[in-house]
Amino acid sequence: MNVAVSPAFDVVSVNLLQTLLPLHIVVSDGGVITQAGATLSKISGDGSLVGELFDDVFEVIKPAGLQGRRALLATVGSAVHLRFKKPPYTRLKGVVAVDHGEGLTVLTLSFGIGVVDAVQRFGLTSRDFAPNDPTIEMLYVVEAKSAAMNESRKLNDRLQHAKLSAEHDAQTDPLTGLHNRRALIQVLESAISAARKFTLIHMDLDYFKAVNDRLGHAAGDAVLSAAAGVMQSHFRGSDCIARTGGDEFVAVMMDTTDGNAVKKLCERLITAIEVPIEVDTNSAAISGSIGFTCSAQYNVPQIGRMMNDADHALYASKRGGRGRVTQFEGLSDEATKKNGGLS
Amino acid sequence: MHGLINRSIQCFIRDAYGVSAWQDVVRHADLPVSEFEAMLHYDDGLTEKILMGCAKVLGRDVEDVLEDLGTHLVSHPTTEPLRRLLRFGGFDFVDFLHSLDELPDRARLAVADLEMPILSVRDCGAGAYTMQIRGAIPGFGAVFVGILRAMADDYGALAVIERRALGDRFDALDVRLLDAGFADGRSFDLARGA
Repeated sequence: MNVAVSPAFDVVSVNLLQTLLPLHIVVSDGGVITQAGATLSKISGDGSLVGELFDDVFEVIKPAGLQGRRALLATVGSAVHLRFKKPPYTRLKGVVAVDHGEGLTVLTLSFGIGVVDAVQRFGLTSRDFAPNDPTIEMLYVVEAKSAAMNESRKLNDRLQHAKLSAEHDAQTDPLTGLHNRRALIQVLESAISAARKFTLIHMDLDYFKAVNDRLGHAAGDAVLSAAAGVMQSHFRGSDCIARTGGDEFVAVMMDTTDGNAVKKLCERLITAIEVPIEVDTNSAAISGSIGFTCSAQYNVPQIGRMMNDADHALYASKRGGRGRVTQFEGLSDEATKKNGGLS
Repeated sequence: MHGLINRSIQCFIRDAYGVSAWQDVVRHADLPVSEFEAMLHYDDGLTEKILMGCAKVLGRDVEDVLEDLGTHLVSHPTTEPLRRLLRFGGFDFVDFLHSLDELPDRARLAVADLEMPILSVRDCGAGAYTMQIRGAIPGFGAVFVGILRAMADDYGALAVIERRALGDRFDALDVRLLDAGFADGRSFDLARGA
């Protein structure tokens, strides 16, 4: 404890200040610190502040424009903000009282909002605060609230994870890992509402039922997974590929309108799908029929209509002998109107 | 019932007896969920079901399980945040005992909807204290026996703690402080992680 009994203060007053205000200083008429509370001395670095000039130790931040004892006298009864001029450079706020008879200025300080950092930095304990000071309770609340907040954050993380995984499951075909019909519709809706051009490709596997009948459902599932893998390797990562039924697949190629390029891509896809798939010791040979249509073919693209049109083109491929690709060549909306509503 | 209570029981069984013991409790007690969330609420009856399941799986009285739960809440590394919050109550063990009067208020500041038992502490002189506990759940008294024993250790105090049942969900704990400075105790810094 760095307690120097000021000649002007009797012992009772010194004890009073030390007990009630562990963060106080007393400044003499001449601007010398004649007394300092134990906690303030503890954090001041060099030890006792007693004997030093107030001006050497503290910078007055508020009120602005005044320094030293004059600043203190100008703020009697209202808040004064100080900072240590030397390490630890800690900011403090306080209030000034003056004993005009003795010419002494008493300044009692606090860490203000910086108390949480100060406690950590200076290793303060509850004994460094007056027992009636609610700082310890405040520290308790800060810690209790951050513990509760931490639990809430963990719960939020778990819920968020569960939500994402449920959303993923709700949009995924469990057998092939491709998108399902729900995800496909979402992709089409957002493409149409954003007025993006796209091509809708509908593929139906050929001879799949024969594989299922001959080798069983497990083999059928393996063939579907293999076909899905072939599709994934032929489209871009940004394209949406969905399994929409037993052996039906739909792909959406974003920002693609070149019918010839799509046709060539689909022909390569069919060639790849026709490579026999080994299932256990058996070999399963399938093919695929494809029909597609492009959103640029419509004035107002609609999901139902485009799906139907791609379906029509697909059945044209089937009728044409399977293992082939057909682009829908119906009339565009504009042409339909010109032709009296027929399509 | 607040999820914190169910979650505490789950963590205690998991930490002290292993994950498989907790899975046994879930099965034996036929619990609707296998994991409790600290920040959610559950049916009141569920807590007693969990405790019965613990007693059955561990082959012990519910009260013994609760006492160990109380000790675990203060002394296990996973519950360090709670130990710290309790240590804010007092500089030494006597200070801490006197702070138990305000424990429900302190708990409310941390978790506003946590229902705590009503506590009152009386200083009987000569190092003897009596604490009365009236709780929403039977067995809170037994939990506090564990908590007080562990906190005495934490402060380095030597104390004898005994429980008397005064009625349904109403207990008295007699604390005899034999030596406040018996051992060094565990350290406590006001600053977290200091």
